Amino acid sequence: MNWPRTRLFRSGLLISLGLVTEAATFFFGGPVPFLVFAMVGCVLVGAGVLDFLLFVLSQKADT
Amino acid sequence: MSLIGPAVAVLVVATVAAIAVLASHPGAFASKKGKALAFLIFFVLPVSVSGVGAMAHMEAAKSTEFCLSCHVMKPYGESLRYDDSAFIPAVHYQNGLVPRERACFTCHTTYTMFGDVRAKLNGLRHVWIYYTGQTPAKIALYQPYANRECLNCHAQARSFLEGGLHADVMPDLLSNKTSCKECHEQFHDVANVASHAKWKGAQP
Repeated sequence: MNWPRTRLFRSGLLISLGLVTEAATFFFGGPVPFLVFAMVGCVLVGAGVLDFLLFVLSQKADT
Repeated sequence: MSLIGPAVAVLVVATVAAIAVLASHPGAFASKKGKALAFLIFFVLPVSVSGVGAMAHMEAAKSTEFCLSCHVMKPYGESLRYDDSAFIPAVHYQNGLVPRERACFTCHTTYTMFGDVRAKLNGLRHVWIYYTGQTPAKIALYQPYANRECLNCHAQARSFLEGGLHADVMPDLLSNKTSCKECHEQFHDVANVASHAKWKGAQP
C-alpha cells in the first residue's frame, strides 16, 4: 500500500521548515534567536512530526 | 558560536535531504523496512536534531556575551573591568578565577540540583520582562546571595580553608550563618560605573 504523497509532503515540509528555522537561529546571538528556535522552529517540527504520527496511527486503525 | 551552528546546519541539511528524497517516493514505505525508515526520517531524526539544537542554545545562554547582549546589562559588563581589586566580580574576571566566557553564569547560577534549570527559567522571565518594557529601574537579586555560590569554588581551595582570616569564622561561613558579603561587600556598583577606572585588558 502506498502512502499518500501529499500527506508525506505536508509532514516533510513542516519538519523541513522547522529544521531550517532552527539552524538559522545559530547564526545570530542573544535571546531572540532562542525564542525563534523554540516558538517557531520547534513548533513547526512538532506539527510536522505530529502530522506524520497521526497519519501512521490512522493507517494502523484502517488495517 | 563555535562549531555548533555549522554542525547543526549539516544535520539539518542531511535530514531535510532525506525527507525530500523519501517524501517524493512514497512507494518506498510499502515494506516493513520502509515504514521503519519513515519513522526514523520523520520522527527520530527531527526530534534528535531539535534536541541537540535546544541543548546547544542552552549552553550558549551561559556565555558572558549572551548575558551582555541586553543593553541593561552593559554597566554590569563594564564593572568586570574595574581597576580595583576590592571589587569581587572584577578581580575574579580579570584574574581568570572564573571562566571569562561564562563569567556571569558561574556566579549567578545556584549550585543546587536544579540550580541551572532555575537560572534558565529566570532567564526566560528576564527576556519577557526586557522585551515587554518592564525592566525595573533597579535590578536586584531575587534573594540574598548565598555563601554556597562562593564556597562551590573557594571551599576547595587550601588558601581559603587554611588562611588565617577565615579560620575563626569558618563554621559560620560554611553554614551560611555569616555571609561572605559582610566583609567582601564591593560588587558591581553600577550606579558609579562611570567613575571607576577601567582595566584595559580583555573586554567582556
